[in-house]
Amino acid sequence: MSEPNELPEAERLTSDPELRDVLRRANLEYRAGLDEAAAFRRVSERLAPDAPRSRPRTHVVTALGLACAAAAGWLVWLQAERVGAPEVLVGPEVSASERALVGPEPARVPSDPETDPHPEPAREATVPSAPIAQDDAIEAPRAAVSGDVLEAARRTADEARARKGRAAPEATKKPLEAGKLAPPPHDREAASRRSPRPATPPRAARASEAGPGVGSIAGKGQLVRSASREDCLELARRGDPRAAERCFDQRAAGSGLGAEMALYEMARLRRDVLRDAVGALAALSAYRERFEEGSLRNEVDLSRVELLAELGRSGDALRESAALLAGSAGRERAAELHLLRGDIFQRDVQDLRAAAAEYAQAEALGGSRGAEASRRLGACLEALGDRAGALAAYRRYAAEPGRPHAAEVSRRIDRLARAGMRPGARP
Amino acid sequence: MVRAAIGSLVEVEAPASPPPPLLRCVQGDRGAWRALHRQYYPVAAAFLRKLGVEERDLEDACQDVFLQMFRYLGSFRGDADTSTWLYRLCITQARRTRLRHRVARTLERVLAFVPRESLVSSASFSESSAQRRIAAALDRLSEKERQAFVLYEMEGLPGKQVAEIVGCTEATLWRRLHEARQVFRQALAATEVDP
Repeated sequence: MSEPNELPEAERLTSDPELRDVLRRANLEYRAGLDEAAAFRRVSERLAPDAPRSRPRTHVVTALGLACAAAAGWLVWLQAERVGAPEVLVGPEVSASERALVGPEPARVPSDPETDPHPEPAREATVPSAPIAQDDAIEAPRAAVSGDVLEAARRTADEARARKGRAAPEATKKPLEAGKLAPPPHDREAASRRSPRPATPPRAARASEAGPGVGSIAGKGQLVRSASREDCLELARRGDPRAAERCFDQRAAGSGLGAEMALYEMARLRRDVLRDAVGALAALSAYRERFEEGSLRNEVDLSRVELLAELGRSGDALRESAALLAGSAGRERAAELHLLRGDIFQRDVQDLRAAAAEYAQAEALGGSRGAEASRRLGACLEALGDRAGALAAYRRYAAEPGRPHAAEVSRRIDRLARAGMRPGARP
Repeated sequence: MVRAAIGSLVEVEAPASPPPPLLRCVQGDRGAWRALHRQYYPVAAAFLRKLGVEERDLEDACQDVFLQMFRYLGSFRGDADTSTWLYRLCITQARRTRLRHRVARTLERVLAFVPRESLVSSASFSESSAQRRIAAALDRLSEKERQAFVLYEMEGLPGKQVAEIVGCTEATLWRRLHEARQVFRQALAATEVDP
């Protein structure tokens, strides 16, 4: 008789063909919508030396006391809110603590075709001609670093500008829509190379700004030396991104993980809120100079490539992405990089064949990005007149249920299939 | 990582010794944190979801799991498999989250107040059919049955490792699994009838 710890393995449910399929699909779906890079950033923030050692633990007695007080306050607030307050829509990328700080301002996380299973409805597709028309072009992949609270901050900043009676300058809005930014009046990247730590106000002046007995954030545009990352973000949420930028700049002057995070956050703020891609690039360059082996180095390198593409520096973007792909870190992000290179070839270089080759490589890597690559490959081949290739690529995309652009791709498949049945149609 | 993203039922191999990123982390290489997080984050997050951690708590729960992992890397002796350690951390974290919810629910009942559902959305997690059916069936299991079932049937771990993670003998594990399978099959069949 065998010992209990030597019992034979029980037969698994996966031996049942029907259950195996359901379990396999569920396993895939349980992994949907995860943003590993954002999660790592937040863990890094909490591991930073100046971060609180731990979150307040749920102690039953303390929680009861606090929750009773909070609930009483909440009930009062609800009474007032019944008059009609805006509904809060907070995406799961925002952490619970950040959610609480976002406040009643709607903070809809923009749709991401890579991860968002409920994207905004796709625009009506039209038959593309080479090169792909802007309306029919596949949107460039969003940067891995965008989204979350900065989106709320950007909206707040825009609304603040609108309230003041001056709309956001067209020059800062238009380039992003077109995927490119106009060069700024001065080369901030070069300036940053000369001085990676821009001057901050004198200590005494900063202290006097805060005033006696005031917390780490004294108000709009006012900073004290001990501002934490949360304080900096709070400034951005209040609609003062310039003050937030100064705050991050100040934190970046320090050392360790806190400084790394500050530089990285500054880059995100400049790109996503201030619409300053050149400034963002400068911050990332400063990061690379100061933290050659930093924890966020891979994210920084990838963001740099995205920014270079955004700035229209296609050659630099292609060169840096090729170098990344040659290294081990780049190979881990190969699917993203090939997708990005495909977009650059398709949109900026207007070389659809090269774009198709990049998309094909991304597709071969599989996963959600591989599926997205199939869709973009289909669009490229369609624009190149390769109807059969495009049809096959679209069908590969549509093979799995629940794809975010399934409706649009289905329309394209129908259109191509109908075109193929017409007499004299090209194969 | 690529293998983990593909979604094989056996997501995490059981290395005999700590894998290179972990070893580098133990030696104080901060850059290796990144690799370690990239490798294990999808495993941990998906496992927490399977244990019933709701979307609004998932991020915080994941953070806590990795904070624990990073903070105690120095004391990790490599006796246990990395994935065993990770799964244990997740189970503890899921239990804490559940406790927090229990307290919150009690308070809500006491105060006769239920928060509006619309306050939080879960835009980035698709509860598509297979996952929804499985989740509904898993909700019918007890906590221990659920842990055993998820680890053995969904994560694809060997029985010995599952017993080590949940802290019971293998005989107890097989009994739990047997009961869990019956409940699971019935619950899954019920979801086929429901629209």
